[in-house]
Amino acid sequence: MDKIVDKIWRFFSSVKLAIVLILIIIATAIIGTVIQQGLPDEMYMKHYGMSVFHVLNAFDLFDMYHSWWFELLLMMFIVNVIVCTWERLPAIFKMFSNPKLKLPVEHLNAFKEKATIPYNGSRQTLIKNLQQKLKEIYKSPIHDDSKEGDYLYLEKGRIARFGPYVTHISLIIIFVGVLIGSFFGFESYLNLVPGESSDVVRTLRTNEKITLPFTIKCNHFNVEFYNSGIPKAYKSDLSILSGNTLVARKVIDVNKPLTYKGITIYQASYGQAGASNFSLALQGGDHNVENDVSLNLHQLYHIAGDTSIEVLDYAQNYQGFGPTILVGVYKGSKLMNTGIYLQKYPDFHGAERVDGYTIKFLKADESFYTGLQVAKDPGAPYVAAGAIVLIVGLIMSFFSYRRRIWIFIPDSPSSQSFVIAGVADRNKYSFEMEFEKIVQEIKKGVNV
Amino acid sequence: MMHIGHQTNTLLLSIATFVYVVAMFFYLFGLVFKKKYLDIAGFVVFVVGFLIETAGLAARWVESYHLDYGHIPITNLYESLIFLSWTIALTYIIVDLKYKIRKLGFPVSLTAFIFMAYASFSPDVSSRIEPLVPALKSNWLVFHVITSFFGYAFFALAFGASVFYLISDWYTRHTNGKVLAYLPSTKILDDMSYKLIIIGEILLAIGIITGAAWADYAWGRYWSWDPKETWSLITFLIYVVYLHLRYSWGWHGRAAAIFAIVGFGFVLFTYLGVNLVLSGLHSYGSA
Repeated sequence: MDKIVDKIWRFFSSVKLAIVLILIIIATAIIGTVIQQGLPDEMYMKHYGMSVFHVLNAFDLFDMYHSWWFELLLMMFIVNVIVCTWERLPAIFKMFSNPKLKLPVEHLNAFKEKATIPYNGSRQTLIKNLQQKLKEIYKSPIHDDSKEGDYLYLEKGRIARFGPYVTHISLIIIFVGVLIGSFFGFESYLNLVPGESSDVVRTLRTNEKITLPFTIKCNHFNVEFYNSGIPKAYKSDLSILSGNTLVARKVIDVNKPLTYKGITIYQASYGQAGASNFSLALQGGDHNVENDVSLNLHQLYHIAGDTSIEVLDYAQNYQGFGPTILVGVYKGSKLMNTGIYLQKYPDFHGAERVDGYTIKFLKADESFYTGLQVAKDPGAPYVAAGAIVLIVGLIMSFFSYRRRIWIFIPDSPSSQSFVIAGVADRNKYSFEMEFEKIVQEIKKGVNV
Repeated sequence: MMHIGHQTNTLLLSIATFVYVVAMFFYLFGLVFKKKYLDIAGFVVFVVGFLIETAGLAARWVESYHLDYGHIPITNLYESLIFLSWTIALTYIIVDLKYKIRKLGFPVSLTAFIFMAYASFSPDVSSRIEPLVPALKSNWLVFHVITSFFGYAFFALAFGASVFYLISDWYTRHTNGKVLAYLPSTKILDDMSYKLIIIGEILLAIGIITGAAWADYAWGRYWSWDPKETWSLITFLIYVVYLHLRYSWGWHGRAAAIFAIVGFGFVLFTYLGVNLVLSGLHSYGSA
């Protein structure tokens, strides 16, 4: 049993696994950007055909980022990060509390950056001179001695060694935040026509009903457009009601939400709300009179004899021709004919003159509903904190690097030279130049 | 006082495009004839081009206020291409002043020119100043775009340094150890490419995070697996792999250079490919 646990532990403690997992995550994540996610099944069936649809659907490829296998990959990656961090962090702490002040000469000679420097005078004077000089140009060395001789030890950029761990821990914090969010939070939407109120919202992906601990009322909704027809701003004037008591009121805007009791209401979208009022001009008849009429959707209007008309449908921008209505012509209660009328092109009309009348579509009074997104995410602060820690960790890792330098002065009457050697965890090239400079300075310093 | 006319910004930006070409030829002749003064001339002309481009962007910003739209010029495909060439140019100038990597001027001026020419001459890219849709009206826009684009710029320079690495390395191997005198040593190029990638990675991380924060303010969800989001994460992860290979396996030199070059392909796809090939939120509003 212990053996199995040990094996699993070792499996998850490897950096190789991390690389493999990241590469698999990359490869699979690409699939979800090629296949559009979260569309209705019918669209996929039409696009891919039934047989391909079934295969892709079996692998959850239409909602792959929430599929069991993708979440399993992410979970394995997090376990990998946790185990790697757990495994290596104690060793790092130990390394710092107990640095290797002394290394055998053979080790020192094996380093790429090394030099042997001759000196005159006594060892004691040399050590004092070196301490002085190093303090000036680099940092104060730690002195230690052994039977073989004296050691001076220098270390810089220790913080960089912690950087990767800070970065990895930040991933764990973010993961905790994501978990909290998925267990205790929700994402939902709510569409309201001005004047309407509701305390029931529907979740985004699964369309389940959620009852809020308060009621949202839309007092007003307003859309402004640029001349080009692109929306400029849309704002909802919302009231939050607890029972019948008004507890909050705010005009929300895109990027300016309203938060109440940990639940945030966002201005996400807007849309055409069914019934509108239409202005039409009718011209003709016996006296060729022109009269303007105002009609609601599906309101019958009597023209002459047993003929009447009705606005059957409205489109804000029908095939690029702008505001358009579909008008039905009735004889008695029988629909005889339909015609399309364009506000921008009054001379185009699909229907013949209706009993000697021409119809012009003057304008529509559009009414909109506001599209609200209602969300609660108690995990978000953790994710935000994790993100900040991530950046701190990256900066710690990269804007410094750990390097160690040893100086060994052998205790032998025959030798009038000492060894200096160093090693850097990273940035070997920068260290090479740094080391070179230190050696030059020391050579100048000790042989005055 | 200079009157900022309707075409001032596009005129200045067209001039900058032309100046970058001139700089590119100086750099190219510098590489071919190995004359130092040609490199210096290239650098001076390049800086002039950069200043004109800066003026063009500033004029465009001012002009957007005259049109009553009033927004920083980084919001449609045209502006984004111009801004990317600007960030690459600025990053190169800073890196050159610090590390003396003048030879990178050739690929950099070529890249700056290509992005600007694509913006100016492609019939698919409209140079009109367009108003902002409500979702883009946020201070996060500025942080998000600037950090992401400087991230791209650092990756682009790392790409250039890696290409130079391969050229220099190839030359050394095919000439029995002779060194290409007019390029920095392979050691310097390797180190430089690595350092540029680190800065690019941190900036990209900040870009992703500011984007997520913005989405959270706008819609209450910081991550929705939108193609652009997903690809920026993929690019981030590609360079995560690069860094781990470097630290844990000691990858450097040719392998690292090839990796950095491939990695830049991911950067390009995240920047342009997603918008041109895939569908999603970050459409640049350019129909």
